[in-house]
Amino acid sequence: MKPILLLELRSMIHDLRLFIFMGVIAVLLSVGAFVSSRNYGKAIAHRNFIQQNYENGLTDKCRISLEAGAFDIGHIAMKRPNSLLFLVDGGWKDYPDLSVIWLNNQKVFGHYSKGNYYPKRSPRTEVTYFGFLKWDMMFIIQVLFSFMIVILTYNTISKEKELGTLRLVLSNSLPRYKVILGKVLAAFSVINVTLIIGILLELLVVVAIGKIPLESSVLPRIVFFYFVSSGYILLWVLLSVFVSCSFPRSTTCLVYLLLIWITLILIIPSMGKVFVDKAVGKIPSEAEIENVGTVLDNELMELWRSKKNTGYRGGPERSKDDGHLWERNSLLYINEFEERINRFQYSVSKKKIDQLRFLYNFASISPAFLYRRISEALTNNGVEREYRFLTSIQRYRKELMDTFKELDKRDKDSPHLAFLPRYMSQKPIDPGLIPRFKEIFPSSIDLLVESKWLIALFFIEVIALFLMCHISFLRYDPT
Amino acid sequence: MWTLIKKEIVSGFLELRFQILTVAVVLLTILVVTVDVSEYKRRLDAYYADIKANQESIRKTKVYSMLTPKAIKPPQVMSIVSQGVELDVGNTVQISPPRIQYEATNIYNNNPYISVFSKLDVSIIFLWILSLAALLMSFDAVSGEKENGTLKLMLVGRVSRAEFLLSKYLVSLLSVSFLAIISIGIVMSVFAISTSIDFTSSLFVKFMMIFAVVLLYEAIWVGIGAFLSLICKSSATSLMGCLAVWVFFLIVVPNIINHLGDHIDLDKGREILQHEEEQITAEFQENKFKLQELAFSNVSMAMFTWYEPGEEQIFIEGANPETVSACKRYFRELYPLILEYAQKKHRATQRYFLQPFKRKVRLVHSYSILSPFSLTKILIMKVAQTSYEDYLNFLDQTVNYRNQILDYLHRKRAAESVRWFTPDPEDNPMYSMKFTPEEIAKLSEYYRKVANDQSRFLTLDDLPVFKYRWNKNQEILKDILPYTSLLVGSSAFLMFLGFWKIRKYDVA
Repeated sequence: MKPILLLELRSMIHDLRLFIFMGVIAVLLSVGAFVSSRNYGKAIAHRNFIQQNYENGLTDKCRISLEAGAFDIGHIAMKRPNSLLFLVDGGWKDYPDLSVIWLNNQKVFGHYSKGNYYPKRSPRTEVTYFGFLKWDMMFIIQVLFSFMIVILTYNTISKEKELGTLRLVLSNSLPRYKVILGKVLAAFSVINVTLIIGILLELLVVVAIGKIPLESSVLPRIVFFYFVSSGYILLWVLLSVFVSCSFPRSTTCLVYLLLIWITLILIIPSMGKVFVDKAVGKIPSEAEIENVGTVLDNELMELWRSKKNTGYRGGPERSKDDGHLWERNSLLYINEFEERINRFQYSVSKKKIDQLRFLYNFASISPAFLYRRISEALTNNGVEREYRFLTSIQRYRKELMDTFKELDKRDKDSPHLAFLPRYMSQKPIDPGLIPRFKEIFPSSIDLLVESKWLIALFFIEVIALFLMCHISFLRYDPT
Repeated sequence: MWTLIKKEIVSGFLELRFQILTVAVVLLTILVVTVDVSEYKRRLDAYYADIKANQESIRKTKVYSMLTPKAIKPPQVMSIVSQGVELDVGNTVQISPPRIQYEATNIYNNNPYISVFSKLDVSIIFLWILSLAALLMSFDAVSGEKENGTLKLMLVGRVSRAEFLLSKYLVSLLSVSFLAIISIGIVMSVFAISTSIDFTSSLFVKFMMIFAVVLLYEAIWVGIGAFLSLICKSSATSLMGCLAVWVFFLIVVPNIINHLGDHIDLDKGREILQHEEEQITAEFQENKFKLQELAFSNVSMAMFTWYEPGEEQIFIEGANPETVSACKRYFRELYPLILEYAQKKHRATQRYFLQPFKRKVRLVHSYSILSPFSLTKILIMKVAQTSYEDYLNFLDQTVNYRNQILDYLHRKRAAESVRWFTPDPEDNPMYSMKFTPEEIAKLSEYYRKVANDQSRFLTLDDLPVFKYRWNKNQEILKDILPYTSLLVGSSAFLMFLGFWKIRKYDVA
């Protein structure tokens, strides 16, 4: 096999296409690193702007009273931009990254659909007509590397047959499986070297620009990303060689490969949208969400009316004679309403992410998308991060409520009816006592374990393609 | 030459690659159209549901200050051909006196997570598949004949070099046009038989415009393929060159175009606008407070419930004659102030957001000439009316609609009447509230009884209704003509290059 491997390597190295490929990749990766660094800077600036507005608002409200700090401001939970943005974009511009938590649903101007903690995209406006295109390394590998592999290897077998050299190669004592293995390894090695150089170049540019802080904890993720990308390259090499074995003419092989490429990269990932509503269920429209809130609201009002001696009197001064009895009774229903509406809103948010998961599952039929999904998972992007973000927001909301209740207890003058407007402490508090949102980031090993089944599936696909390639070549008629 | 063309057509159509491409185009078109028609139906249903909800909300309006009709843009049926930005931008604007909205909300796309997935529409077939097809049909137009040894034979006869090349151009273009016709034919057939689509002559003209643009686009790729076939020694090299050019113009250049307008930072503009709006709002609140002090200085505010959900929506229940006169005085003074500050905010919005947005859109459109792919994509979007310009046009129409609503309110003298802020009659008996359980129960019972009393709802049958005005085909044609002439010029230039090159081509 060694002679075949060396022969193939020599022929690839002398192929001008390879150098054009390497040159193009080098330029694109450098530009990509520069654009990603700039995007990271913009994302951080944007986050800081929103956080600063929140801090200023919280300080102003806390100066007025604890109640103002609790009610009169939406508490911010915002995602932190991923420092591996240059490797895997992760939809930082597309996915919701911001949640505004109001501790009293009724404060949200009666709009239940706009209300509590639905993750949303922070206000951004882009003018992009060509949205499928990105500059991160994962995109360049997923789209451009795969295209280049097709161009470099589509005629691996068919060209040799057209030139008549394949018969000569197979006429000696070398087993066929060694021939095909040599060809595959040669192509894979050369492109893998390009990948390694590309990753190192990208890291170099990112470090040189200095906008993205790279900690040592991200190194394992870069290594995982490299291995997955190598698997992806191998997959395309095997696919090209398989198609090259399947058709006699090089042009036919190329046409089929290009159609396969477009189908795997573009068509299959877009098709899931057809089935998503049927598979997961429709997301309620704004009108339907408003309706749920209104129905719950009416139920609550009916309950109030059916009970005598209940009613909100609009302030502790009016209700102190009976120890705020009706307000205490009202609070039971208000709190239940809050919890029911929050459970509903959580279920709507979760359903949106469930739809995303369905689309990811569907699109993973394409190995190109599966590669993307694994890369995102290993770098803490993608579907799982969205679930984690939603859970973190819920946790943060509870933490805020518990903290405000605790702080309210310290004021002896307060009627301690959390969270009834005008029935909490009216004294100012230190804004430093209010907890801030912290997103939980799993470790690299946790991310690897989380993605184990995806990686296993990817591995199975590569093995299957290798076997198909091998069997196809064993049966290949070189004449 | 015609004999040559006929021979080339027959051999071209019989080629395996052409047959594979035909099957691929047919299957993809059917798949894409099926997906997009069902998506369009979903959006149409959502649109009608929203119209109905809007009408219902208007019907249930009790006071003029809470009148907030919606301006809703219907889904564009040609988004099946080119989705453009239709699902990315909003299509609904809420109209109210205090606010001129500068962004629309989106009723179609209520899940922001799934917008990361690419849009699947028919234009993908025109832009990606047919361009590839054009290259695959023309990359070996000359070099292939030379490699086969048939080039010398062809040029020995009465056929001149220019005629030979012209026949190659025509055949390649004809083959790709055939694929485009099949694709458009399938789409038009689906439109014609679909019950939710009204296939009018105007739509047919749009299809013809798109076909013409696509034809010019394919002509450019045929020109590139033929030219590379002339300058490369072998078909294999020519093919590599063609694919490299294809990737460059379809992936690399459009990606660069996305960033060329980045110096116009709309997010920065939004931040500045937010500060400006806060200042304007603070000034407004100050003046409003002064008016409140003047109007309500001798009036007890405790006698009625004042709902103020925001944006100056006022709803008062339980008012007495004294508070009613005070409110009338107050809102008569407040209303022009509301309009004045709405205009101030709108001027700031224009300056810091909308004008930069329009400049950025124009800039991206002008940079699109750097790639035939991006230029054609934008032209198709313009014909389909799914571009950013159409969105901005919608926002302009909502501003005009708001003016119609303001004129309507002015004619009704709405801000001067009690119906601006309360559905209660001026002699409402429920004015003494002592906050005892009995009084609260009586009041609640009273308002429960009158909740559906028709006299408490405004009669708004003559309220202007928003009707979105689509651009006429003549306007679209005028808009796309300069860009289309660029496509014509590019394809003509490539043809000229080919003819120039073949004069000195070494056929040996």
